[in-house]
This record gives sequence, structure tokens and C-alpha cells, in this order.
Amino acid sequence: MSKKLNLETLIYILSLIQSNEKWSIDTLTEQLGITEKELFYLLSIITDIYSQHGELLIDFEYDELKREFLFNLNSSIKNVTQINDGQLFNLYFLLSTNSIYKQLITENKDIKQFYDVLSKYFILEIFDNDNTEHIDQLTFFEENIISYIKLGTVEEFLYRIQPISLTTNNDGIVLEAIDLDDQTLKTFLINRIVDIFDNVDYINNKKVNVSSVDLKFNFENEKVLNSLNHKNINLIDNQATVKFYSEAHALNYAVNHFNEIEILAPQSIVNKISIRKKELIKKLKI
Amino acid sequence: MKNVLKRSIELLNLLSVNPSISTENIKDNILDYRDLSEQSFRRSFERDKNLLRSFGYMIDYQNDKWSFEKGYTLSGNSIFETINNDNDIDIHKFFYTYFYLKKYLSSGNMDSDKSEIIVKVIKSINEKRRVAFDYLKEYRKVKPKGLKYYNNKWYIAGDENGTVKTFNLNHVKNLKLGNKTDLFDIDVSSFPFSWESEKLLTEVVIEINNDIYEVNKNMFTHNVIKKKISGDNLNCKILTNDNLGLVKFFLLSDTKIKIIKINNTKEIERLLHE
Repeated sequence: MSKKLNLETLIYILSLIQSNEKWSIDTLTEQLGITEKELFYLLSIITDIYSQHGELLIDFEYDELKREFLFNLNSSIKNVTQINDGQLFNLYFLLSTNSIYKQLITENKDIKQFYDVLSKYFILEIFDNDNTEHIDQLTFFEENIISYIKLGTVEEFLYRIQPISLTTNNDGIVLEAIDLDDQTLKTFLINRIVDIFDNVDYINNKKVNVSSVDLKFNFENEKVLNSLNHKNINLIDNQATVKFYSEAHALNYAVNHFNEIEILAPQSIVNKISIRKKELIKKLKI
Repeated sequence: MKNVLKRSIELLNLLSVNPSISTENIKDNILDYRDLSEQSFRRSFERDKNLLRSFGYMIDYQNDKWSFEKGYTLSGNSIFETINNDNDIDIHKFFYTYFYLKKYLSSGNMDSDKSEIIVKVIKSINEKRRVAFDYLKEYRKVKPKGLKYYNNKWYIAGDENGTVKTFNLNHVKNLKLGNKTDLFDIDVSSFPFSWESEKLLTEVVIEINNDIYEVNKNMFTHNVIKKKISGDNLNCKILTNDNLGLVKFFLLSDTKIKIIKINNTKEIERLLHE
């Protein structure tokens, strides 16, 4: 089953359907971003849901010729069609980050109204310390060329990408985009995008074979594991082996926790940390 | 999976219309639970609760000694409920705008513990309830005033015994909401960071590639006193007390940084050798 077919999609489909009794199958699949097969699978679940009073929450007829649904909705559907506080908070936070907000509300009073309604419920102070101004220049669902400094490195790399969405994670605001060179979905931390080009002699300069790295280290306080994906951690007492996407990611983690962990492997990272420390001590002797 | 999704929607529906409901009533009202043995029901119920929790809906057992109502309640949806009951808001338009925005701004991938704490803090602010939590091995009781976002970290600003303090959300554990609502007023005009009035002791002058400064500056809390950009390079004077963050900043900036002047080298070296 596709990852998209989850509780959120179920609530989404119920919310969409309740606003209209008639829906064309093409509109529904497009709005939900799922296939016809997946839509019928979801409908098979929701047409088997009962209200507290033992009535079906939803029922439908499908006209194959017109490719159209006619839904029969129970009034208690409104109880389950809701957006939770966390989802609203996340959108409000992303909209509050100035440059992104400006882009999205340009000539769109509905988004402005949406934002104004939510602002009554969220008392936030966003210190816009991220260099997010480049996001204004990004065009979603079109080709963009960005200059990006990967985590753990100090070099800029050019990427030809097609932005899809913005989201947040523990590292900050993240751009999800398709890397048009290798047709894979990648994530870019927006504060590490240092330039966006309209017209540039693009050379794919990032053809470095990226291979995952197992970082092995001792730790005293398990809070050092909080920022990691738990699926990638192997723990034996106070020793962890963590799989990172690349050596640069592992190095970035090792530097960020240099005072809290003792790196055991790989030797390349032990050496890099040691060299950076020695160089820093030299720089301090001014 | 199909049954879990179905039961979760039924559970959401049931808890949305009942402010508090007992375990027996839940079992009785959901067809798929009804015929299960007590042990199987408990297992299924816990799994469904966890699924709903992972999507931001929290089901908690309320056992308030001052109240007659004991049982499971749903939380994490109070804002939408209020909006839905507001006749001045076109709820269909609100939904459509939400779905439109979701195409560009997807749901966060913050770890679920942090999202849950944020949702609880929002509820406590909106309902003006006190919160209590474990913070770096201490138990704190705070009247929350707002959330602050700085350097990729979330902070709760709150009044503790008459003093406004800021608490890093990464260190907040076991957050609980008080029972009483409308306990205090919120003056949204100011809730400064605790460290804003601090005297900053470490003074550094650096020359650094400007892009490298921009991508790594959030590593440490600092004030830039003077700055000059020439070409790709930034020359700046910085004041900070976050010496550990400064060391990490130096290490991450690697070959792209030159230290022109620094007044607290002993402390920086001590941290490097720690």
C-alpha cells in the first residue's frame, strides 16, 4: 500500500467529499494525488465506517459512463473532518517566515484570510535569523538552479531541481525537490541554499559517489540521539552505530556533538575531526 | 491496516461528540471492538490511540478528583473546532485554502514528542492554563505566554513565580496541563529571551566567506557588532557567551574562516580539549 494512504489522506478525502455530493473521479484523484485504484481502496474503507448511532458515515454510487460519484453523507461526517492543531501550527509557522509568506499571499486574499484567522490562536515570535530570502526567487514545479552548501561541507554545489514543497524538521525549514539530474526526490535545508540562478552555465559538479556511512561512537547522555532517526540507530549499552546518508552528514553530526561523543569509526571521520581541532588551536594562537 | 484506519476514524468520531467517555462505552460503541476479548480490545485500543497520536490527535484519560467526569478525552483539535463553530468564517473556504497550501507546505517531520509538546503549549496558551514539566532534572510550573523560534529551536516563554523565562523545548519532558482555565492574562507585547540582558564576554573578530557564515551562524547565539562585506568575504566583530556554540561554528567553517582577534582563547581551548 502506498505511503500516502494513511489516516491523514482518509480525513482529507472525507473533508473534500463533504463539501459536494457530486465529484468526478478525475477531480478527486487529482486533488488527492492518488491513483483510481487507491481511491477505490480508500472508499472501501470509508464506506465501512459507522457513526455512533450505527448509521453509515458515507455511501456512494458511481456512474461509470460519466465517471462521476454521487455521495450520500451522514451528518456526523463533520465530526471527523477536521484539521488538528499541529497541522495548523506547522502551516502557520511556515507562512510566518516572511519571505515564504510574501510569495504565497501575493494577490491571494484567501491565504491572507486563512493566516489572519489562525493568528488569533498562535502567539509566536519568529526571529527570522535564517537566510530565507532566496526562497522568493524559487519557482515551484519548474526548473531552478540552486547553489547549495551541503551539511558538513564548506563547498558550494550546483543543483538543477524542481521544487515540490516546503516542510519542517528538526534541522529547520526544508525544501523538498526533485533533483533533475538523477530524478530523485531530495531535501534541501533552506538556510543552506546560498544562491538561485536565472541563467547560468550549468555544470553538474556534484557527481561524487555518495555512499552511506556507519558512524560508531560512545556516549554518556542519550539526548545526543534525539535528533537522529531511530530506525538508523543500533545501540549496545552506551555505544551507538548510526547509519548516515553520507560521510559529510556523519561529519556534521560528529562536529555538532564533538564534546558529547567519542568517535570510534570510521577512521576518516576521527582524523577529520582531529585535523579541524588542531587547525583551530593554531588559529587561536594569534 | 484497513481495520486500524477504520477503527481510528470511528474512535475520532466517537470522541469528537463525547467530551469524556469511559473504556466500556468505547468498547460498546465501536463495532470492531465489541466482540473482542478484554485483552485483545486493550491491545487494539492502544494501537489505535498511538496511530491517532502520530497524526496529532491525543487521547488521554482524565481523572480529575474535582470532576464527576472521568474517562477518555480527545485533544489536539481545539483550534479547528473553535473555527468551525465561528459563523463568520466560511469553513469550506478555510478547508480549500488549507488543502491548497498543503500542496506547497507539507506537514512537518518534527519528532512526534516535540510536536505534541508544542500542541499542548498552544492549548495551554489559548485556554490560559498553567503547565508543569521536567526541565533539566528540575520540575517547573509555568504560566505560558507564547512560543519563540530562534536558531532552529523552539522556546516556551512563560512566567515562573513572577519572572518571565524562556525554556528550550528540547529539554522539556513530561509536560502536563493544569486543570484550571482562564488562570492568567497574557500580555503579548513582550516576552524577552532570558539571555537578552546578559553581558556578553567573548569578543571575536573574524574574516569568513559570507555564504559559510550565513549557513553556520545559527550554531551559536551571538550579536554582530560591526560588519563589512568585500566580495565574497565578511569581516565582522562578534560578541557571545555561547562559547561551545562558537567552537562548533569554528569547526564547521573549517578552512573558510580566519580569526583576526579573540579575547577568550583559554576557555575556547578548554572546550576543545574537554
